[in-house]
Amino acid sequence: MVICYIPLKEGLAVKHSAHGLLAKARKLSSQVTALVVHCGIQEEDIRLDCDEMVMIRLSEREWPVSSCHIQAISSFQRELSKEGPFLFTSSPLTNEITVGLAARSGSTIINQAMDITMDNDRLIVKRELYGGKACTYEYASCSNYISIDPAFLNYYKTSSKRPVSIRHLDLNVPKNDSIQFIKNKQLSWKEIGLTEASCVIGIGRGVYQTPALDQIEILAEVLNAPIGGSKVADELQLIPRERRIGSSGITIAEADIYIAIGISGSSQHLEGIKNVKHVLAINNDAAAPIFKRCDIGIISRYENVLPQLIAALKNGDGVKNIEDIGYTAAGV
Amino acid sequence: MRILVILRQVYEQKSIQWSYEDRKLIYQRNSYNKSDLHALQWTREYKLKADALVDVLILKKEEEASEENKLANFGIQRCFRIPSNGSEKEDAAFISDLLKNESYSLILSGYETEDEHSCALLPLLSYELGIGVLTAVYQLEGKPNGQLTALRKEERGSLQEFTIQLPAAVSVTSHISKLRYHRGRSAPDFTMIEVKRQLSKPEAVRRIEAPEPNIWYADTPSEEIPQLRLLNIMGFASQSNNSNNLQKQTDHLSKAHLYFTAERLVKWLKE
Ligand SMILES: Cc1cc2nc3c(=O)[nH]c(=O)nc-3n(C[C@H](O)[C@H](O)[C@H](O)COP(=O)(O)OP(=O)(O)OC[C@H]3O[C@@H](n4cnc5c(N)ncnc54)[C@H](O)[C@@H]3O)c2cc1C
Repeated sequence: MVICYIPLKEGLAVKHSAHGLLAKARKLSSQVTALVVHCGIQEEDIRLDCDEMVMIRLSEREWPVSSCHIQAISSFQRELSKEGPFLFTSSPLTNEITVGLAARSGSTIINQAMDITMDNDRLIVKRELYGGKACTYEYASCSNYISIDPAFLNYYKTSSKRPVSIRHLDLNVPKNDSIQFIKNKQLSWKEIGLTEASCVIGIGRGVYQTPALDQIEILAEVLNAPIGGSKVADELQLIPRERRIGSSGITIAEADIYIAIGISGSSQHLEGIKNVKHVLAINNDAAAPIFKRCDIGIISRYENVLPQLIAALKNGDGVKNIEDIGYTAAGV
Repeated sequence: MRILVILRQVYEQKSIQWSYEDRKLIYQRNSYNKSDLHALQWTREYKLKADALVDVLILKKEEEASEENKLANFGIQRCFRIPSNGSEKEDAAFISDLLKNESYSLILSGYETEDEHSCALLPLLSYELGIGVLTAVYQLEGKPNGQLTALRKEERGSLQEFTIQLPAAVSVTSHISKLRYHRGRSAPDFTMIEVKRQLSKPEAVRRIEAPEPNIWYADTPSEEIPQLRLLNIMGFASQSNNSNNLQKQTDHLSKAHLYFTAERLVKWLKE
């Protein structure tokens, strides 16, 4: 049996990498248990491909603190006496948890693995060295705690299955005074890096010498999206050099949404957004190549579009009224 | 406040290459782990604002020389140099033994090493010493009551704020401080303490190989004619144009389109 610690966003929503983790576990064993340590997620909202799911609830103050997780997982192991490798996805929190659990049980820890395979009852763990300049392969025993880098787990499709059996464990986690969680703080669009934002705005030559640059900043604020741009935007000093997107700049692999404003979509620029899930392009030239890469394209001068788009996003009226509007209903 | 900074000696990531001929890593240049140096730089800036005594502990690769003169001008008092075999578990046990008679309020180090990307040393040490631990700290500030406040990035785009009761162990990311290099080679301005240690062979058996990506087998095209299969792989699939693709166009921009765009944006943001 393999036990998977399900990665959650702020203790309240299942992360996409959870499905990859479970798929990896399925390849190692036919019996997979999912452990969900949360702070208020509803059982009905969880769809995971596993045989058994165990849920442990912590308070919102306890959830970000690793010692609370270590206690929760230790009591899960005591009560259900489950044996088998324990898989995690790597993050600072899970790193503290795996080390804490391994220190308690005396077993070894393998962090940031790329892949795990089974070879005659033994696990072979593949890891990267020197930022990917070499790989190591090492044997792990079935009592190991192994965390896998989520970058290698993203390609699995979401499962819609419900777990076969669900159990809830009630715990009283003793207070830990040494490290205390205070609050979550959102980074503003000015502080957040292009490579870590979920929504990024890109500007190009098309916005140069037009009177509506402040509109772009308002859009950035509404969507909490940092502003980057094309090489030309950098040369025209619309953005700093380190915010250039493309083959000679940065790749925004983490973003889900890219909004290209006044960008033609040269091959070098598209190189920088090749992994972005959704692209919205605003450009007044219908022949611009960016329209071949976008999901929604608006052919218009951006000065005319942005105020209306911002209003629609801000008051939310339209958004609420036409929630899940189809393409046909919008007349698109 | 007494602070101990742990510096790990690594081969510089930029200087390393895999030699396909000899099947080993070559061009190895020695340096200190970058994020550990960021931790040391943080102590230097902290000392300008508050009273602190800083000691350094270098975990040195057995066969390599370590360059202590790089550590001059950091305001270090004592520097322990310990040979290491790369096993974080053994290192943590040895250091905790060494620190039995010392009383540090804060033990600092970098979050991840450049070579093995391992990040277990500090948590292991904290469990050995029975003190609290917080890893991957992004910003760290002292408070007048002797506590520390720390920000850490667990999710992209958001930070978690913690208070840390001392004594504690904290590992930091390179965001914590800006490295400033001191030009010129000054002699070390601290006391050097060489610690003797009997090293055992590391227990993990492993082999190092050429870099190799994970290979994913995605959906394979099922068209009978090879040309169509090729077109499918190139992204011009005959069947895959569903309603989410961009087949729909309109030639005037109405309020409904903008609402539609705004709604899509909000939906994507929620994904
Ligand atoms: C070696 C090399 C490396 C390069 N690396 C990069 C790179 O990393 N990143 C990069 O971006 N480029 C790179 N380039 C440059 C690249 O080839 C393009 O020149 C550049 O991307 C074009 O930038 P742009 O889209 O902003 O400008 P343009 O191509 O001039 O496009 C401007 C667009 O704005 C539209 N427009 C004008 N007015 C408006 C308006 N009012 N409203 C809406 N739209 C409007 C126009 O119709 C046009 O389509 C590189 C080039 C070379 C040779």
